[in-house]
Amino acid sequence: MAGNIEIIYSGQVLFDFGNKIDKCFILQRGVVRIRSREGELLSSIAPNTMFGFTELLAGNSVRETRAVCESAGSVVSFSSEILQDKLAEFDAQRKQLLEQLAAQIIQQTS
Amino acid sequence: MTDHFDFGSFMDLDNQAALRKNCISLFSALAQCPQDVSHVDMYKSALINDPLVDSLEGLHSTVTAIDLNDETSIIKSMSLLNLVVPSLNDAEDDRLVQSQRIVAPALDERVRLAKTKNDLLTIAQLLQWIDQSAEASQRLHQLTDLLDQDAAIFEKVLSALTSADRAAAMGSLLATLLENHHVGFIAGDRRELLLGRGVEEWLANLVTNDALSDISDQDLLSKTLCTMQFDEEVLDEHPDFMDHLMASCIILTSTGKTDNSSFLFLLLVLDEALFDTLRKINDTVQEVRN
Repeated sequence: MAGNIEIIYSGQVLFDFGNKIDKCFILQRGVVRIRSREGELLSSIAPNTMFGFTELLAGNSVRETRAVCESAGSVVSFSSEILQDKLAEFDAQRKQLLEQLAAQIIQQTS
Repeated sequence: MTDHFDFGSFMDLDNQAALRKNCISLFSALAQCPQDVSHVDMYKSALINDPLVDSLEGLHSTVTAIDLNDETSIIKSMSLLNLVVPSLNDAEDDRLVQSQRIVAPALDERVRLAKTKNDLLTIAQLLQWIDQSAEASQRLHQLTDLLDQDAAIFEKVLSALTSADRAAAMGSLLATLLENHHVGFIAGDRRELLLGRGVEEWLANLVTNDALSDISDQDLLSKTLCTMQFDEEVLDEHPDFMDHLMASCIILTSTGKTDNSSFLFLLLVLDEALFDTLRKINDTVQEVRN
């Protein structure tokens, strides 16, 4: 299990509503925007930023957001299991804190 | 190889810049013609020991497998480096420009010495490195695919690679070759195979790629090849003649005879027993032999 460099294309949907959360990403080049079901812009991802993991931290298993590449570039993708393994190393208190933070972020953007 | 992705280290831009530098150095060393073995070994070792390499799938194993006597291992590594470098932090962009300057004369030398398909595939990687665009490289890849059908294309590709505007020359050559390909007449090995079996050249030149699309080389080599003159009048007495013909043979090509009253078929026989019943009806069948 390691990261994969993936070329992304303008208009490409990296993940969509209802998709299983099996991958997280680091944007290397290009522009990615995250939108809600209503089409509202939730965030614009800047290069060298990790994304696609917040819902996982909140305990969700499927996506409630859509990530669309607005311009060509590249991402590094890695299995969400890697993140879950890291989380498993956290003690219960820190894990709960992270989940609460993630839930707040989702609530604020939905 | 670690079994995790170290996103903390990976997202440190200094680490990415260091990895990028190691990738660029290795590509430059691999691109040289001839390569300096000690340089390749040094940069290969530096990259393998880069702390981020384990975080990128396949990079460690691909670089470790580089063997200067194995062209495929070099092409595979170059391809991966072409993917990795543009995706990493480019604070030291000058280093890539510097490498492109070093690689450019090596590219010319490789074009001058190119003799094999692997040579062309290596050149395609160098083109992508220098242009930082896949356009010329993709065209060369498409042209090398066509080499499998017609080895004579090789010299034309080399000529395009030596022209002032390589990408345009390759695009033009590709357009011409694809146009001929769409017309569909076979060329290269499969045409040679039919000629070798005794098919007259003018008739072999009328066989289409489409007609051969479901036929293996083995069947083309071993099954009975025949010509048959066909007159539509035969259908008056034997209305199922064409059905049986289609069931027993593949029609490689058909053409009008000079008297315009009949057709000439080139046939590959798949069902000898059924075809024998047709021979009894049509006595113009001639087996092709060399």
